[in-house]
Formats: sequence, structure tokens, C-alpha cells
Amino acid sequence: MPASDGTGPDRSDPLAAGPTSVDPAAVQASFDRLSGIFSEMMLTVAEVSTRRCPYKDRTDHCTAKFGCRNQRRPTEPGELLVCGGDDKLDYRSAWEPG
Amino acid sequence: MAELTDIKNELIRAEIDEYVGRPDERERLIAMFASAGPQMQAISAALIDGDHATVDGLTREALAAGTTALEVMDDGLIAGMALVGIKFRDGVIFVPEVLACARAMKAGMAHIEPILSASGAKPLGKVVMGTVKGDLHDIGKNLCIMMLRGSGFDVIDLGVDTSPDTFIEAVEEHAPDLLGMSALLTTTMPNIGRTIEAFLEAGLRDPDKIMVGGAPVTQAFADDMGADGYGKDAMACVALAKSLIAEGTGARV
Repeated sequence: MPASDGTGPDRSDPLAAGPTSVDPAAVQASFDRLSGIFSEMMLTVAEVSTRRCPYKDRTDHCTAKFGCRNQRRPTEPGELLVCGGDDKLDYRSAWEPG
Repeated sequence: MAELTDIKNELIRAEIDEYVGRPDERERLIAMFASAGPQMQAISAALIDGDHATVDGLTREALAAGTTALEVMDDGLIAGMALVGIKFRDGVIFVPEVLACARAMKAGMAHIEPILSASGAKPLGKVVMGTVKGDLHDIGKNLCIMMLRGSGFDVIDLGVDTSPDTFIEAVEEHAPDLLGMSALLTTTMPNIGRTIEAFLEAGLRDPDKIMVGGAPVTQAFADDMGADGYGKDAMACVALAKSLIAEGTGARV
């Protein structure tokens, strides 16, 4: 909390107390770890995208911001459109330009 | 050895129990989460849930309470992303859920990056990215941005359907090291060239600044359009960005 006279550091602002020392090697190691996780994810993306539209979420709703002939009306108002693709044919041919 | 019950957060416990089957991964994750405090576990859980607003708030609170930026990054955000990666690999979640988790990660990193930067750990470079005018297909761009951010780049996302003027305004405002453009359709691919032409006309074109990508884009097309680099996927995009930065050719607008 800030000091009652208003001169103390504002603890709600992490930078207010000034930067603390961070080991650059440790920061790099953290980014390397994160990058490794993401790189493995990209291998999965490449594999999954050959058979499932990447805009289709886990509940088979469409997250695309463009039209697609596989889009079906949602079951509940306000929900995302439902994906009617069967994942057997190339889904990209159903995507529309805008 | 840590047990599942040593993890206080209910959601993380349930997720590991239900979705992590491989003994080595299960053991590693249990040890990792069990050693993290309740606040870090809560950040991980919100990230796994793709809840960016909660990650934002909890990260802010943790830092204000004195937790170090690196601890929040490692024990909260990256730990959560490790579990997300396993769920994605095993087909429990798909690309849209991964991108929601990446958005939550960004919400946390928004508080952490200024602290790292102020203490000398600068981003690898700044990148402005968008899909070109008329193109609303953004999965490829979003995955590139996720990878770039995960590698330590600062990325300004212009979203979809980006006009040449918007790209130019963003470059003028943010002074990035690199500009990335993507197009998925053969009908919108020429807008890559039109945008590069607009930069030339505005007198803003640096010789080695623009990288392009997208399913129908090829190296030959990128060369024809006058781009400086082409990446066939998100991993290639990061390698290209690092290479352009390392060459020092992407250092100016």
C-alpha cells in the first residue's frame, strides 16, 4: 500500500519501487523453455491441420472471422457458429474470401 | 516424491489427473506445480483456462506482493503453458484454445516484460504484424505472433484486413525492427506487393525490414514483391526474424 503521506512506493505498480536485478541468463533460459513448448506445439499444428480446420474449437464451433460453407447456425443464440465440416475433405476449399 | 494431492489448486489437480497419462510427464508436472505457491498455481490455472482477465489481475497482484517477475513467468505462466502443450499434443484441445491460452499468457507478460526490460533483459526486437488488406484469415499470423512472443520478441498485432496506410501508421508509431505481413488467399497475395509499394512511396522502406508468409506465398513470390524474407510457417518466421535482427539489417525503420 502507498504510504499514508503519499510519498511511499505504490505497491500496486510493480515498477514503482524501481527495477530489481534480473539475471539475463535466467531470463533467456525461461524464454528458451517457453520457445521449446511452442515449437512442439507447432509440430502438432502441422500434423492436426492436415485433417482438422484450425478455426474449429474443441466443441466443434467455428472461430473464424470470415465466411465458410461449413458454418451452421448455432444451437443457442449468441453462440459461435457450428462447424459442419466432416474433416474428411480439404476444409480450405470451403473458406470464403471475406 | 510429490503427490497429486500436494497441489492445492483444484483445476490443476483435475487437469493432470484427467489429461496427463505419461508417467514421466505426470511426475514432472506434479513436482513443478506442487513446488509452486498457491498464487502461482492460480495464475497457471487461469492460463490453462484461457482466462486472460484473471491472469492479468493475478499477475499484477503477485508482482505487487513482491513475487519476482521471473518467478511469475516460470512458476505461473510457463508452468501453465507446459500443461496446455500436453493437452494440445494429445488432442484434448485445438488451435483456438491454444491461442486463447497464448492471449492469457500475453496478459501476464504485459506486466512482466517492462520489469525484465528495466533490469536489462531487452526484447530480441520489435515486430509489427498483420494480414494484408482484404484477408481475414489470421490463424497463421496468430501462431507466428505466439511463437515470436515466446521467443522474446515484442509484437504489435494489427489484426486482419490491414490497409497499407495502417501498416505505415503503425511503423511510424512503433518504429519496429521488422514488419510481418501474411496473406492466405491468392486474391489478396498481391496486396503484399501493394503494401511494399506504399512504403516505398512514403519513403519509409528500409532494405531489410519486411518479412512475409501465408499458405500460397512462396520464396519466389516474396522476391518478386520485393520482400526481404519469407517464412513458410511460424517456426521459420522466428528463425527469419532472428536472422534479420542478427544481421543488423532490421535495425531501422
